[in-house]
Amino acid sequence: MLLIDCPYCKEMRPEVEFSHAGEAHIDRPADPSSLSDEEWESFLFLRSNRAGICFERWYHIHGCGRYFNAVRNNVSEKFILTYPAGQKRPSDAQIKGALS
Amino acid sequence: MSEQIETTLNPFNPLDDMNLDAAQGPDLIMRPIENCARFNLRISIEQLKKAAAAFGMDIPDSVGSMSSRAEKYALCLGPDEWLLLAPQKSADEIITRFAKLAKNNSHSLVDVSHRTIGIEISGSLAQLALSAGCPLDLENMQIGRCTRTILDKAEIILMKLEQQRYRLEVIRSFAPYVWSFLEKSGQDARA
Repeated sequence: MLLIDCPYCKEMRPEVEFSHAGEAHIDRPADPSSLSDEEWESFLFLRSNRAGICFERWYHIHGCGRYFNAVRNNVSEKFILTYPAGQKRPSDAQIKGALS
Repeated sequence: MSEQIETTLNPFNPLDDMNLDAAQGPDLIMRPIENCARFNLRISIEQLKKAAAAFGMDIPDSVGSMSSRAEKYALCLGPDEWLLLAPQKSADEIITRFAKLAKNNSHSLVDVSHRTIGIEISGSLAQLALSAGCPLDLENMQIGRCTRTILDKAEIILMKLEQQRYRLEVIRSFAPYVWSFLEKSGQDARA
């Protein structure tokens, strides 16, 4: 079974306790009414959808009940890093460090 | 008419209709836990000491730990979420004390006494029976730890009281399912 490191429980926990919650680090525009339809569409629906290393939100729904962020390789399914919501996106060096 | 109302308001325990002795043996003992008061507490960690004073015992601050004293339990389920269990008779006093605390310290205390049914499972097969549906490493889980997790398809709150004694808090409507699941996995473990 895939184990995920929950940054709030500070434990490796089984995958079935978690739920995926979309791409991470997408800020809601401060003033939505000033946006064009295209910009609003982009905020709502358009995601980077890259193959490889991506930043995602995960939800420990059957555990501590918290959202957190994860760096994950969506090709190999490997979780590289997890960190609490609200923290800055890890740098390339940090990701490299976690991989080695 | 009044008779009818009384019947409607009778507390209903979903385990009442079941034959609870089907899978019992010295190696697997399951029993429903008597009604108790349950509270969901949300408070900032800085104010936790005040909440502990209101509850009348220590409340742990690290996720997954649990403290107990005189039939009272405080479970830290998340970074700002606690489950408090206490005997039914002390419920009013706890509510009054937290209401006093609310004057200067914002928090939320919700009475969830009837949200879950408590089940205690013990005996040498208890861990095997649970492991059939729970993906956690129960063997290495420390005594006195607690967590919300999954048992097969149902969400449960699991408390490890002794090496071979666990307490489960199960959402009421899932209780018959969880009970029969444990019965079945207990029988399988025995075979």
